Amino acid sequence: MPLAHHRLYIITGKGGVGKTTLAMAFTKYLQRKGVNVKYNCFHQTPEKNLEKKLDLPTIEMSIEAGAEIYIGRKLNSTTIASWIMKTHFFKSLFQMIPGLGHMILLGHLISELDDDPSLVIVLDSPASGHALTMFESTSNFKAIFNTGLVVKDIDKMQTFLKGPNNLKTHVVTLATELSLSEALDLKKELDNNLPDTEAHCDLVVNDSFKKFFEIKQVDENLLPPFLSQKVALEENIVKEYFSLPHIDKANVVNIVMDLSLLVEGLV
Amino acid sequence: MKIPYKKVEIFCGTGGVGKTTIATARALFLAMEGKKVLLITIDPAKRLKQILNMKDNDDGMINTISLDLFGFQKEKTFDAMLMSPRATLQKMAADKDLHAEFESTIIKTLSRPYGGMNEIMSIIEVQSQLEKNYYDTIILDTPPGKSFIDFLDSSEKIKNFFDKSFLEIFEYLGKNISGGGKARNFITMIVSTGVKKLLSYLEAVTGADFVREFIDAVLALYKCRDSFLKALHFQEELKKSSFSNWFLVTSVEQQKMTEAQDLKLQARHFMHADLFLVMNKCLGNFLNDWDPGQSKALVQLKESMTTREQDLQDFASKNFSNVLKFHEINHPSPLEHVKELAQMFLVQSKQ
Repeated sequence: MPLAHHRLYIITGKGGVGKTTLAMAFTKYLQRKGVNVKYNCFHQTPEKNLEKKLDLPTIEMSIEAGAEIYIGRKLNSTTIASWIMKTHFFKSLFQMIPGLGHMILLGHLISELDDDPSLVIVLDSPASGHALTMFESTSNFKAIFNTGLVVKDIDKMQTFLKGPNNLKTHVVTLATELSLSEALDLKKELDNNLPDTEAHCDLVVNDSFKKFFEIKQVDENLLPPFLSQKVALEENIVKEYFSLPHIDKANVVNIVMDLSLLVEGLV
Repeated sequence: MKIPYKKVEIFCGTGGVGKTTIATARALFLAMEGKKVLLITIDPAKRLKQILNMKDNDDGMINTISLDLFGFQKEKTFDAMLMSPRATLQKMAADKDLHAEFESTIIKTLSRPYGGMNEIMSIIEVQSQLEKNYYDTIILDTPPGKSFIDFLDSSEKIKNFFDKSFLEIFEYLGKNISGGGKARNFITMIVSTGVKKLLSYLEAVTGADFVREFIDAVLALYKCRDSFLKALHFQEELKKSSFSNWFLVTSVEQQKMTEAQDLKLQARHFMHADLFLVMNKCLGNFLNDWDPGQSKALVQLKESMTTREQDLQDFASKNFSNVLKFHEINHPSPLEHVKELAQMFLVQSKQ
């Protein structure tokens, strides 16, 4: 029985649902289990301080650096690649087509996974829009790049993503109706974007007070109205989906560490 | 604290903080005050759709919302619009008679809701709505986090986009920018050897079809240059306090303090004195009034929740002179949230 059932875990969802916290906690969990795991913050500014405090294994690459390495490989020359990346034409190309950079980044992570069969990557995908761009990008760009070296790489990426037990996507939501309905929409679109991939997409409810009181065995009758109202609104959601509790800490490092003890269900 | 009336109000935030709901509440409040309001949301998740019961095909269209929906006078209304980069681009194409050019795969891909032209097109949309001179206030709900910075940076993008190097490429390929035929000339070809090399490298990676289509797409956009450059003027206007209010929305739930701080730092040079920090989902009074009793779990819960809120409060008062606090609303209906938040704007305006 492997410790991690998949090679690439993508943690995504709307802003503010706790993706980063959860992705970091899950990385910590796998690290403790002895998995060769790396956390990737994708297109976001890395939270270096937090990563250091957590002693988090990371894999990092900026879109520009990624593109330069990629083009260098394709043309067998890093000099030409760095020259190309400095031209306004290319800079504009990347600014105008953000999905292109995302695709190259994702391609990099996949080739890292190809090179090292023991490696597992937890990808902390920015807002849901960006996660969509990323998945859409592979099929969109295949339509745009009819020929050329890129198409072969896109095929390779799609083969990997569709491979058995390679990809697991967790769509994170808060335990509210509004957040849940957005998460379900996102899940539907992600499922459509990788249609032949079996059940790669799961829903995870984060920061649930209902779950918290269950675990702490607190009598719900003791709760003040603002909390019992919250719990009542969460009731049906928590019943139906895998849910993680609210963490009763104020400091992010402590929150991640506490959460890392509870995320086994994500493997 | 009095929030002055302005032509434009901009709501920014890190996402998941209730930004769209607050922007909608602000529109409702201003409409109650008798103002003519247009609310534009460019949040790709389109939460406004759920709140205002909008359908998919409403994208890019202006809907008139009666205050009836919120239980207020039905004579009063506000307008709302879901930003659609595609629709804005099509309007532009119609103006310039560029329909055929804008049918290219690349432009279609670029102008999809997640394609990357959201921010630029929204600036152009707001600009064109302003020119109608019909609304008292246009409220902009910006996309969260990183995209928001992109939004503010979009004028730089536009500048880069029309950089001279594009001109060189068009010249080299014999494309004419101003219309009317112009033969490719021999000297340009020699001058453009560098361009030729660049394109051959690009071709090697992406294929020749892509290069050809991309150049055509760029050319089509280039023909709309004046609309893009006009949007730069709007960007400048936004920086004037006589013209706009800025609302930076954050929430007590939000755990990424560093993100809020980054946003503040990066946004600083775009903003002015009428910048309001909105602290959403505050639990202050609820927490104060709550006696957790003997339960250790509840005592610790209260303590951690109080600390989180205090941390945000400290951050807010240290960095912002105008702080608006909105308390948490526990209600399943987003409509009720909008209504209650609009009431909070009303109460706040009388303080």
